[in-house]
Amino acid sequence: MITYVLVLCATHSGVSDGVRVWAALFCLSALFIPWLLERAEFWFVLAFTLSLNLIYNYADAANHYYLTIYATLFFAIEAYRRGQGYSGTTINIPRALIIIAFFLATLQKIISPYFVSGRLLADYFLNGNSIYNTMSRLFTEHPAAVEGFRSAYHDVAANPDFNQSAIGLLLPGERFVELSQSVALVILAVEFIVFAAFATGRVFRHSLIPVVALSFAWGTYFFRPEYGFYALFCLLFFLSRPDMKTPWKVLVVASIAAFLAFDVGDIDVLS
Amino acid sequence: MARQPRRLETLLLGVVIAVAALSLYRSQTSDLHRWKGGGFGMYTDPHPSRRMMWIEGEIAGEHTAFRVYPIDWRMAISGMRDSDLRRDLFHLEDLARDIRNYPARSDLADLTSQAQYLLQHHRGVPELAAIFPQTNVRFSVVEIRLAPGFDTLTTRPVSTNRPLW
Repeated sequence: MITYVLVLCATHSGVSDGVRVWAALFCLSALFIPWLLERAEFWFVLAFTLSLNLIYNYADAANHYYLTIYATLFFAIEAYRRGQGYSGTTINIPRALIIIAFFLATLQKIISPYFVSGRLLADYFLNGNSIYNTMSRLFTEHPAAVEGFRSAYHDVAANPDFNQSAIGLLLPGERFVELSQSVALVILAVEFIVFAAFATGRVFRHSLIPVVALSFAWGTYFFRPEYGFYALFCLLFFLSRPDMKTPWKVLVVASIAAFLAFDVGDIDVLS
Repeated sequence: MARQPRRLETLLLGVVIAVAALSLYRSQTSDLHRWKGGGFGMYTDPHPSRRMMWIEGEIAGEHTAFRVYPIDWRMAISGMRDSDLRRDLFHLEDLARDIRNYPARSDLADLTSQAQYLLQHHRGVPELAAIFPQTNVRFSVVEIRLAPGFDTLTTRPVSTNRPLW
């Protein structure tokens, strides 16, 4: 599992060339010298190196970049505790990270008028990057609407009178707005269910919790190619429930490997 | 056996919550993009690539504007003969890209000095003289999004900064 974390750190080390080179160098060193992985110092230095990007570029890092840093800090604390003679950390940090992330993701969506109104989903459907083929089967006018949206976007983006730019759009069908609003509500519900499943002790300890985690990762995969995040989510899930049964473990590890392969290979399976 | 300490674990989770709370506060009270800052606000607003930065000013009484991020390719192509100009314009685009997700945070010092550098070193390039007039120049960040009625694509001003000179 630690190897996957190293791959994630090496491939998601931000935008600064200096930080990327050092992070990749650290990760490669650890692959060749496994002893380093047991040293808290290694993980602290890796977390510090990744954090340098935030100093350079606070407003450019994605959320899963923060999660990657938190994961490396978790490994640092765990290595430190083992060095002290304990079996590991007492708090299930990977589970706590998932709970915090999903609570905030749900909250942020609830307080965002753009998401709650359904406009975000309509926006994604109209720009053609999300479930284009499915939408085209549902609405015969969808390809024309996407083409119109892209053309309008180009015109709006290039208009020097940028404060008052507005262009009318063709919508794919009568029920398009209702569909966008419904999908927004479904996404909100799914994220809340994941949060609740991880936050509720009984559900989290249930043997079927991998169904929730894997359904979320592979279900969301059909909307956006955020493979780095899905890999990290499955990884945190694996670390939070190391006692799950072997078939589930195999499925989770296979999912991590698949998402990382898509990510490292820069392959967009949806297009 | 002594009870296992958990100070570091608590500290880590405290940092996670503090970073997220700061991001949430900043996105609610200033121009920090909801997707950024570690507040887990992804897929709540249009993608960050929808934020553009423009530089604008008055030339002989006429309003002139040039898109700095993403860079106006017409300008970049017309300046292709001058490799220094091309490099400097792309550097300006990099700075604009970094600033646009949280324009209120920066006093635009880097962007200003880069624009001043361009003005001083490429004064002889007519296109550049048109882009960077010496008075009343300001940077603006706008975002492209769907209007509430769903049937119009429109721009929303995110922030406009003070005149540079």
